[in-house]
Amino acid sequence: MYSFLFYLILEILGFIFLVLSFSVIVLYMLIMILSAMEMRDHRRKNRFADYQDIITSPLAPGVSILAPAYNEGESIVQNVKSLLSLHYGKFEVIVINDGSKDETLTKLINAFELQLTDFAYHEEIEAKPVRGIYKSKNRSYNRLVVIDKENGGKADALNAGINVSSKEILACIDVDCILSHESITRMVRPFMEETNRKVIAVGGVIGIANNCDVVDGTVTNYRVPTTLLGKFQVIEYCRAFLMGRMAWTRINGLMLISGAFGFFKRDLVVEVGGYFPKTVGEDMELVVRMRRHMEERNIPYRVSFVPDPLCWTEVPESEEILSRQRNRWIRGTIETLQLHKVTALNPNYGVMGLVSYPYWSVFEKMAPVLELLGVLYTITLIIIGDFSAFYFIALFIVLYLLSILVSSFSILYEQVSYNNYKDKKDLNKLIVTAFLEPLVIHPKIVLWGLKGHWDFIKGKGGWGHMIRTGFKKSEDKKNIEPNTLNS
Amino acid sequence: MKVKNAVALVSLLFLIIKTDIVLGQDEPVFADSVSFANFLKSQGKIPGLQFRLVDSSKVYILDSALNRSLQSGIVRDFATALRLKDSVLRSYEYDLEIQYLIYSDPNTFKATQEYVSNLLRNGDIEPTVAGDSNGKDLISLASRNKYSPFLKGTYAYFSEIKIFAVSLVILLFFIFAFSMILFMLIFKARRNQKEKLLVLYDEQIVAPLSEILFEKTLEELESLSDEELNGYFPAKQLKKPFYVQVLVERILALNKTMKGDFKLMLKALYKRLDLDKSSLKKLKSSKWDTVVTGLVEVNEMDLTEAIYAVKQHINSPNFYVRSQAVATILTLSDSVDLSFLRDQTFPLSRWQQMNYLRIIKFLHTTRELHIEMLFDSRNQSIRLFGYKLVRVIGRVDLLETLEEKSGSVTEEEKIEIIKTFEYLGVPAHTELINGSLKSENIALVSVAAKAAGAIGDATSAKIICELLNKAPEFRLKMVLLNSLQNLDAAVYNQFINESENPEVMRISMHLSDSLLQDV
Amino acid sequence: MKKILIIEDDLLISSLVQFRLKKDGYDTVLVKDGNAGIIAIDTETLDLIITDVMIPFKNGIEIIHHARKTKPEVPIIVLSSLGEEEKIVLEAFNLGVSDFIPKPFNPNELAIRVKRILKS
Repeated sequence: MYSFLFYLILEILGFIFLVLSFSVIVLYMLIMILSAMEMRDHRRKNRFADYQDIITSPLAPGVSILAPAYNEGESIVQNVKSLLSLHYGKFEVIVINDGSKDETLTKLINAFELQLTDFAYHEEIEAKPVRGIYKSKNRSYNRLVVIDKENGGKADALNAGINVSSKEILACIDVDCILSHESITRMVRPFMEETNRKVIAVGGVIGIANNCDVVDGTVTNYRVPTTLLGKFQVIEYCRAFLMGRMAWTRINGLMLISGAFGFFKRDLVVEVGGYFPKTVGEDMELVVRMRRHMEERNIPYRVSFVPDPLCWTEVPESEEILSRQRNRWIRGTIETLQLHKVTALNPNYGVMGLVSYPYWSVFEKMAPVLELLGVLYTITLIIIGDFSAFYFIALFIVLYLLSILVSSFSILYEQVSYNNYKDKKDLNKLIVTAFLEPLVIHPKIVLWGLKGHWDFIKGKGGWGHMIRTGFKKSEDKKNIEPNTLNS
Repeated sequence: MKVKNAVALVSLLFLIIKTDIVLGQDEPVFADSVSFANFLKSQGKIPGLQFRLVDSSKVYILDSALNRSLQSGIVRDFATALRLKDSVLRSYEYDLEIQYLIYSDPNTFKATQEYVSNLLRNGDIEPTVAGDSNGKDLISLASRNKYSPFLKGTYAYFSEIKIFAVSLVILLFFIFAFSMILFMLIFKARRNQKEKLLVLYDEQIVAPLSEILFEKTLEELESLSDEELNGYFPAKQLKKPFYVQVLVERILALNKTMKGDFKLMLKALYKRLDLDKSSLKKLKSSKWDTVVTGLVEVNEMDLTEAIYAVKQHINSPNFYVRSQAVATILTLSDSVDLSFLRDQTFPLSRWQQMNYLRIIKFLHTTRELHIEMLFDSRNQSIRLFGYKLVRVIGRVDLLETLEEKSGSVTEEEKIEIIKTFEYLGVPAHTELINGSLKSENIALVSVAAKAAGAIGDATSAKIICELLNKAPEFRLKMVLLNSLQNLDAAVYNQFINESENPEVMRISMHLSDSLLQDV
Repeated sequence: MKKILIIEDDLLISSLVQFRLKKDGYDTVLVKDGNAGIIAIDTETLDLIITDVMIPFKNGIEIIHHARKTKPEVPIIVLSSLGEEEKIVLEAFNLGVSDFIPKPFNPNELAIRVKRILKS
């Protein structure tokens, strides 16, 4: 009896793994095609977009940039300065000091001549108490608003920022991200182009600034990072951000917008209740909730995506920090999917319920577990001496080749669209990394994902301890303190 | 998930313990003598095995015919032996025994069974019956075939398809992936080449262009002979489509940034180089981006002769074509008739409005446009755009018309009209504002309140006080108080002093903070 | 020969302006962004600065500030792609700019204004 059960399970598992592997192959084919089509259309449309006009047009929407800051004292002044000099007409920069323990607030007050105001703060969305709201005496810094509040986490800080903001569109960013000077104009365009479908949010890509030359808030020279982990993240950027999200946008199934660079319609965010502070994946959770809101009211809508390189950040290059980041990502994914279980495979929720949710459940959330089971399964077959083991080993080899091919394609994809990594040596390094990734890096990613699952079950929350090291390459040191323009 | 893990672990454990799950050489093939006998019956001839009927009692057999067959005696198969035995029994009531001969040596039944079993195990004979009800036969079959020990009958069928499907998908995938990468590589190479050409052509074009623009007058340009023109822009180069494209783009860019005579010169140059013909050709293309490029060129270079071709594209389902076509008509058309805009059926996006606004604003200085026509459009987004135009262009003369209309429009339109009144800062027209203050629609009330602060009257102040006493929502309260402060400082101060509401206190402090002005 | 600094990131416009000014006999220095502009202001001897407001790396207003601080005797002409937005115009003049030309512009007109400013 047991032997029968055992073989039945092996049979079923075998079938499942075969189906999964084929799905992965088919899916990647689809992603490559869809993303290529979308990029071609995007580039064509870009040719006819007059971005200069938006900057000054009275019809352009106002933008409130929300930048939560926690212990960012080292580079906060520089970052805020570059935010204030973005090329756009109607915008405000709201920096939320989330109870930093270092001199973040003091540096801001000194550098921008801030003063406490009598701002009438109203909690449209619940957040931790606000200690003070500051504005500058200096008219050059008119656009800056600084909120000082008790520590509550990123989502909570963003909610406080939303309460203070007054413009039509919210731009939620990480304060240490570098933004290109035309980032606002480009990200605002999808909102303005909508006709019969309401654009509720626009996502962007986040490039990798490690080892690049950054001058005054713009990347001037691209170089591939020195470590293997860094190079792997460049490939991941090409594959998951650029290619993957373009494909999702094509079918209007985009379910995740990076918390480090995302634009939203303010009225809708307030309507759904702002960010949810109890989850680590607050960026994904908000988008899913907003989509649900629109689906439930049967209002035609769209979540758009701008693939142009407008935002860069420093990615973690040490295993310790990267593992914490991935751990958090998986936990965020699990939490979000759980919170919105009702949408799963539910035709009332359109593309999100029928396509995006199942995909995220199986190929993102369960991926580490399934891969582990697949490996164990194949080892089992080998031990029994079953001939099917041969097929599965062959399948592993095929998946390895698939990974290399997709990575190479995505690198090429980036080359054809933006060509930021021009140096031939850099390209070779990336190709080598594509070969190494499935063998060296991917198992670690799976391990960290499994730990994420484990931590989630144990009930651990929070961000871990993320350290910022500042940019490694030639930052203009003389611009750490701004010129006070009245001297 | 935990259950799945547990099952897998337990199965693994089983595997380690019971390694003899795979059936091997030890199990007996035939369960008992009956099954063996049945097997012999159905099998027929078995190599090395013969049967003979013998008389163990050694009683004399009478029938000579029978005797003869008995003497020769050897029967090849068991079924025949049995039949013989039966017929002897019936005919002679004589019970004979079957003797088993293995390679002519008599053997016991058991030994025979053993022998046949070995034959089966070693694969020396094929059982003629498959699917015997006795499961052990199948097992011996299976263990000989080097098949996996899976029992399901459907598995055999499955694995055939599996292999086929696997190889097909893998093959397809590789072909696909390699071809896509190849395509990208070719594309990249072509693009790199284009970039190099671009730099080259730029050098070849900008200098002659600047020379012509600054050294020559319009008359001189128009009277240039073909050879002279050739000197600036060689005919050989003009045959290359990419050169022409770069030339067109540069001329367009210059046209956009320059004012005055230069535009006329650029237009003349454009026509002399026959570039206008290429623009017209683009309008007939089937690819949308080519059409839009053509429209942009026609628009910038003011090619009025193309106006009919452009009109064909006004109601295109493609957003970009439609948008650019309308913009082009606005620029080109000598007539001031905005009816084509009024009759647009698709909703007007903000992007389009921005573009059209810029064009109309520019045109307005030279022509008289009947913007009021837009107020009668059946498309609400067009009507709203019309009201916006009034305020951005500053058509104070149309305010009367707006006031007349304001009684019968939707709330969204009222909002836009009120904004226009406020922006233009003309007092009077307070009926609309005061009426809207009493509306149920909060957005409308909010806009009206804000406008009241700039152009309201005493009635407005009164209504605002009434609204404040109803304890409205925070943001609205702030707008109301701000407007009240601008309208009538005395009433405002009185209200503040009398109110005990903490929110009102906070708002009043906010409003009096100089740092927070013009936020 | 008088030397004019042109700070402009649009290559077409800058080459055109350069061509036109050279025709009038001026010597020109062309830079494409704010940082190079500041370096040029510090290192070159200039008779006139022509700058746009929206340039990479630095706000045009910052450039003007810097120029007024370090070389107050050099006149500045602002060539603005921001059009005629009132705020910007007022701010520029408040800072001591000599002339303000919105785009689209007439290069001949620019040349005339340059001549007028350099004469005084």
